[in-house]
Amino acid sequence: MLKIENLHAAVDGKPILKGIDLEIAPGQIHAIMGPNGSGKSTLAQVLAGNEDYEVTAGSISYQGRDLLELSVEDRALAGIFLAFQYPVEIPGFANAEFLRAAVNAHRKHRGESELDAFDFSKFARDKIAQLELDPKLMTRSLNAGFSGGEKKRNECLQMSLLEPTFAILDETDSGLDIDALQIVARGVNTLRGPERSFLVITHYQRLLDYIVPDTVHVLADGRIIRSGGKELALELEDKGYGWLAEKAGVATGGEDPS
Amino acid sequence: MNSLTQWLETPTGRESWKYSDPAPLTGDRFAPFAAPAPPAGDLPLLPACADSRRLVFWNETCLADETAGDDRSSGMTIAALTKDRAAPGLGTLATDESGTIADLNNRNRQETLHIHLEDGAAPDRPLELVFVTDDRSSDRLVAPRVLITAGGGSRAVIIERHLDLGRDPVLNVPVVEVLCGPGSDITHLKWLGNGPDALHYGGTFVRQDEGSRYVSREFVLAGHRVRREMHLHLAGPGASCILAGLTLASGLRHTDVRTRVYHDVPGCTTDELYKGILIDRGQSVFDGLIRVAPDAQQTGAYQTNRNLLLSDDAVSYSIPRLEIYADDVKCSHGSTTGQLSAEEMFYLRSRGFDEMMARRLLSYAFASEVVDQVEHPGLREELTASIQQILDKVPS
Repeated sequence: MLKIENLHAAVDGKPILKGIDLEIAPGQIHAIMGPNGSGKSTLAQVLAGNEDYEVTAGSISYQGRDLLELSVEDRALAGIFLAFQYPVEIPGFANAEFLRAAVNAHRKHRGESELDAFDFSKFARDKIAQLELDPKLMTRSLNAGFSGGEKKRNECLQMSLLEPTFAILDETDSGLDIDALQIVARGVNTLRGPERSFLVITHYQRLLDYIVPDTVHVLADGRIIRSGGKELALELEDKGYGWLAEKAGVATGGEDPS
Repeated sequence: MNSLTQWLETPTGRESWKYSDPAPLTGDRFAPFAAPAPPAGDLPLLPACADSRRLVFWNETCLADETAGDDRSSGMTIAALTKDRAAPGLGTLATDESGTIADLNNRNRQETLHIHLEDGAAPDRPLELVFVTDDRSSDRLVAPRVLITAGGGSRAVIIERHLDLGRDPVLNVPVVEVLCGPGSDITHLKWLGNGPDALHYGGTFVRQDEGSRYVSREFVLAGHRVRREMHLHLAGPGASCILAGLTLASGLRHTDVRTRVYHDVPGCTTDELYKGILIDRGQSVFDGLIRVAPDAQQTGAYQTNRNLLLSDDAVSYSIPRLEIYADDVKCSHGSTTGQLSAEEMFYLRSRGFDEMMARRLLSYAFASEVVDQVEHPGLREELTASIQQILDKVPS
């Protein structure tokens, strides 16, 4: 599905990713944990194609294609989805219109007919209910005035509407209470399937109780310093990142997870 | 020598036209109609709100009011006043001495349309005033004048449209005076769809009595040179106004919006939001002043101007100002000018929208904040379509 080799990336000339190797097979869920500033979000942004991040070396292959050759929108249409850590607020753009237009952009790309407002509402109803989103949020402006939890659930709604092949969840759990966390996890687990892969970026082991990963990676100072099974997350919860970083000889920045 | 010319020779006068060219107003290129020029043959299809009572002014001639129906019971009377006939209030706000856009209208207006709402009147249909010019308006000066006197507790929606169908330059200098009686509630929606070469230097002059509410939403979507002035006095305690506007300037167009709001008495509120979208080499000016007099305690006054530049050559001048002489007030003002946010673009593109679509959607969204508030659903839809049509042509 996705193969990252020796990936280096910089922001404003400052190297952030310093040689990432990662391979995700279809149907797998990989989790990435690591201290603040280790490059987790940068990896997410680079995968989604944010042009503010410069790839200075390495390669990413997605379903056999060179991902770095594709524009942001072409990646999205090819099935890559990023659930943003900080979803953008767009006053004046009704959420329902945004969601329908996004779904239709994908349908058009697949050569399918576009959904009108009525058909879209039928298509989205169950998914909105599953994420326990207040239907009133559909008529409001996109993310404008949404609570933190509502924004994150709206990201998950987009994911379930767009049915991506490879989804990246960038700290989707931060700012969620335990109920919202379970709702989000249920959304992800519903989508789980043999042809769909996930990269889950999180600070907390807690999320991984509900979204059980196949592999856990620890990112520190722009490199993966340890990979293991789901029990690695528990070990990290117990010991923190320090012991791994020391072993690997990298600085963790000493910041608390937040 | 006329008063505007004299005024332009003063430092204040020059300052008030710093970013816009007053030459068409002081020169002699444009002359009033010598004789009535009603439409020849069938009327072209004019945009109109289906449910409105509609008056059409064609090259300054008022056409037969075919939509009058039985509005007599609504408490609204409409009369055309000849130039020598006075009406209580006429010319008291748009005076010659005020150094405003009124001067040229005062000297050149023919008839005045007087709309009077009796105390408690509440017509159930909006009143739509459509000012049209055609090819025979070439190099003409067109000076429509409207006086709205709203009696105590009356309420109405007035739609003012300006439409130039001719291809040559015409100079529009419309003036509307609104006297809002105690507790009245007037919604004034203005759409300027002036021709590509048309000049438009018009204004609205408002005085609000105690507890009245005045809402202005103004859309400047075309015209070669446009200056719109709003002069508003909150003269009775507890009066409130909402002033909103959206300007779209593309090509080489220049628009200038000037607002002057005077809080003369306590307990009044102003909520002002003007937005501009600048395309190609379009230019916009926003010069807004809210003045809070020493006695005007418990004032709430908010002024915001936001401009979106969709090209590197577009220019926007923003001069938001508050002058506060009272000490117990809540006031704020702010101004932003910028391009589409890279973060918003990335977010939309990451959902599968191509760059051009993302730009359009964000530009629509920027305009929506003003358009979505339009009280009349038919007009709102029409405006939305018209704005989208303009934005769809923006080169990426």
